[in-house]
Amino acid sequence: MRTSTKKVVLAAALAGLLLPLGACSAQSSADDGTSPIKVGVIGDFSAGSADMGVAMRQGVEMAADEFNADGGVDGREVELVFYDDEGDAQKATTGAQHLADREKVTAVLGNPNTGTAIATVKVTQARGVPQIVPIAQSPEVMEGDTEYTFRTSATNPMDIAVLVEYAKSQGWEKIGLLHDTSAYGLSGVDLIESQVAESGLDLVATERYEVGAVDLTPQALKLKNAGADAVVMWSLGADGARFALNTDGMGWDVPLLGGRGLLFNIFGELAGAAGEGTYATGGFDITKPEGAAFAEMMQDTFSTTDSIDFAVLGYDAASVLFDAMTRVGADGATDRDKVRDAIEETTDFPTVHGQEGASISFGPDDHEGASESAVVVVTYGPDGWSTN
Amino acid sequence: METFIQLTLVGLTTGTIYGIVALGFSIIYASSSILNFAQGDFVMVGGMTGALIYGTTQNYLLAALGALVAGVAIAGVVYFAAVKPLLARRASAIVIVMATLALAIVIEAVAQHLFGPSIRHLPPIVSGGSVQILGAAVGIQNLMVLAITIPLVVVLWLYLYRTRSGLDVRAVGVDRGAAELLGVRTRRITMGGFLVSGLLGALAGFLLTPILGATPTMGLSYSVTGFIAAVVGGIANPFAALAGGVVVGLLEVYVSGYISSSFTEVAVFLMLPIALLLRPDGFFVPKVARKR
Repeated sequence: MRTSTKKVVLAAALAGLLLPLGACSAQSSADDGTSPIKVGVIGDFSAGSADMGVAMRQGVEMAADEFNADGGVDGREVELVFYDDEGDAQKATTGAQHLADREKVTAVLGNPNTGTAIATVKVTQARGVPQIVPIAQSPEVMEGDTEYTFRTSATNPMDIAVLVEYAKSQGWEKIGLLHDTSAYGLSGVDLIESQVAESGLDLVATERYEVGAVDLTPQALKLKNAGADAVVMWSLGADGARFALNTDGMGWDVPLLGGRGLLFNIFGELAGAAGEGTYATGGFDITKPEGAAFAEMMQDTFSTTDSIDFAVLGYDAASVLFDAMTRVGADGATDRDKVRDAIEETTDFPTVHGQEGASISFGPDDHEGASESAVVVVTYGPDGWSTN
Repeated sequence: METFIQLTLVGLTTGTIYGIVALGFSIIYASSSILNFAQGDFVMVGGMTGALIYGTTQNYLLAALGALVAGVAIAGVVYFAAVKPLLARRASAIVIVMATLALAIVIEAVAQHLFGPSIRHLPPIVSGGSVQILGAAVGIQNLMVLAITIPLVVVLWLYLYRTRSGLDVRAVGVDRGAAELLGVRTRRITMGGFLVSGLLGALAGFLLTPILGATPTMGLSYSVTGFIAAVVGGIANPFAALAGGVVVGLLEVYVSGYISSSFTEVAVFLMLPIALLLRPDGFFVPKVARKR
């Protein structure tokens, strides 16, 4: 029994070693210059953050349909291969391996979540598969070796810089900070503290809570007593809504500002009118013509514009990739290195997301494609989040 | 003073919510000496089912009924799938506790597939946000939670302390073997404990959803807070457990409001070892009722 188990393990280990080799040789010989170009799309399509992942996928699908309808890369179509990582880093690693080795995709788009993006980037980097990260905002995603990794979304520091600048422009000088104790909540604390100090504003108090805390009135009282004239809440939608309700109940009329964690439907569902006037950073501006056209296209294709902020980011990341492939041409469009080089040469590629005139540019030393112009400040009103 | 009143009101309402979960823990413990770590999932199932039914039918009453039925049903599943067969095999208490924990994980996974992963919501029973009491603001929905659960708790107390069959239940909690010898139908009482506990949990979940939203993963944190509250108050006595919930709720707000919200979680978790060291039977269990 024991020896046979050993044999199986050994065989599996050997198979594991040989598989990537086989995959590599297969890739170079399979391409005939006309077959579809495979692109992997990986994200959470079914678990806790599926709102975001599904919207990203819808954006990518719209970009691919549009691109293929226009003739693809000189007649070569793009074929999307989806992998559901369920928001789990382990599954993301398996998924990235599957896409790179079994599906032999030319490039990968994803993942929307920070934790899974970090896991996938390690795999694609090791295998030399170009990857574009469309949504995940944490700096950690790009902290390792990133020769093959590109990001098209704005980063947390960009969002926070825009938010703090906005507070300053409104004349709010004493900033209170509220955040949860999840990875998301904690990720903003240091950045907000340093940004607030840098811009000459005063951080008067920092309060925290556990995600799902029943009542945030104690935190609101402390921030009020500390004299805050605006509160930055680095919170998720439901908790942000509760804080808006609690401050409203206390009769404390204080401006609230937050990040993209607020942009989930639950914020408005729970907060209702108390949430009105809350500011948040977002990526989507419906007042610019490209934004309005995108909203219409999404409505026509999927009969919804839910989580459009994330859909537009998926769309732009895919568009950047397809543009790079077009520049490579039909012959080399499945060559991972050529595509990587072409992505790196992307300059001033106009995006649908972001402010008027926002664009993506990469360079040999700069794989963060977005800038602060990719960040839009949106306000919650009776009809949901919209641009100021 | 104003701050004190505000904090106290918030602590009392939040604490009562924890207390309801602790009460559920305690009812099961009192009727079977089992710690049921699927307790928080009764809350989750109530919230999710209510939100789902309301989302499709827009009928509040139907949603409430559905939530309660689902809570009782899921408690029945825990009892019949894990507790009853293990009790029949005279499994040790720790095995049964682990079984409830395992089932809690299964329930959560099934809920993710059935309900979908997103956070869901229900409108409040009465719209309008909050009211002023003694110059302090309290959410109307928070008050509704109290207005609906407290009468139920009173009914439960009357049943346990003023009826013959309530005496049977308490007898099982004190000494299951002796009660069985005296002809008390202990299994039926244990089953009843689970079902009532499922009902209470689902009710709490339904009433909390307009405040917090409901997600398939929310159960565990209620199990943990409810457990701490139950131990602090006295897990063998449902009303001591309820009082434990209020203490935890007050502690949370006083620490957040007067010291720092950085210490809130630490303070709550510290309650557990402190209670176990000083009063292992709980702070609110009358001394005469304590076993030596």
